[in-house]
Amino acid sequence: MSDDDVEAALRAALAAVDRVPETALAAAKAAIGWRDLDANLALLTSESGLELSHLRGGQPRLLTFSGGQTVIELEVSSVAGVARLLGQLDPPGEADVTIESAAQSRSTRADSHGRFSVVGLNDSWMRVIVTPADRENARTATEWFRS
Amino acid sequence: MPDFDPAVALTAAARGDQSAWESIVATYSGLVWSVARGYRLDPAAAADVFQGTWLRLVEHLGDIRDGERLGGWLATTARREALGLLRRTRDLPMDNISEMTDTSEQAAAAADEDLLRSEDQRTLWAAFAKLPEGCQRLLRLLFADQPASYLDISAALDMPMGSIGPTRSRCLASLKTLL
Repeated sequence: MSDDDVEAALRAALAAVDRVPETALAAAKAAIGWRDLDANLALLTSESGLELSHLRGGQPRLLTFSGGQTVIELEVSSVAGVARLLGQLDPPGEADVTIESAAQSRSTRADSHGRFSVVGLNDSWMRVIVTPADRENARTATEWFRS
Repeated sequence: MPDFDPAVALTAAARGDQSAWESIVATYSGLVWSVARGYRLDPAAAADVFQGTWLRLVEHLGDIRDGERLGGWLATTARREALGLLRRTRDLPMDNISEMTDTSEQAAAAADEDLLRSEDQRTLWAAFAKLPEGCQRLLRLLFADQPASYLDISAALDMPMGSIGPTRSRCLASLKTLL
């Protein structure tokens, strides 16, 4: 085979093997719908627990998101495609909490200690949006994370 | 059809312009997908990395000032997401790790072959699969349907632009000997 032949064959094979699936493209095009200009973005500043998870499947990860005036700590665990979140807000206090993902949006409330929990979520990309009761303009959204 | 201008599209998309956003997705989807697949992720895992990369861009639309950096930004983000997924999903009980790695890569290779029609293409793909991972990743980007620029490849593979050309030649030569 000449060099040109090899390159042409490789190009043809990749066109088939690496074609972007229509469903993935459609989801990507819809992603702009998640743009939230009203919320402060809380970035992932630390992630731990991975080093323990070789001991047993389903060990939780601890994710810390910081943005503006709010820190959101999440303990994320997932078993058989179903995820659970335990959350802690800092500063601690009551807040409206929404967990958003493509498939679902779940709302709950953080108690006076800033704690909340959500179970029975589908494994997927998700984010947590928090509106503290005493500071309505401190609406904060974590960056997207994977359960 | 007007030429795609990443700077213009970014500004418009940041304002919520749906068609500007879609033009960005259309322009770079091949690059992002090829980067994800270069990490030997099966289509479901690649779709995960793909979606995560685009969600991150939506979050950071206002931050990317230089349109010329958009391709590199997307490629770097896709690489990070792929590595993150590998870290999370391969953190398994020690006695299962090599078994699961082999199984998932075999599943990915089998899925790849299913997409090829002709015997010649399957032969080529079998040879391609024997190349070192670095070569596979590079060739995947260079010979993609939407070929990536050397600038974007440099970001995707964390590789100096100057070494792309020589590595390309070396990898193609290796592929030829395997055929």
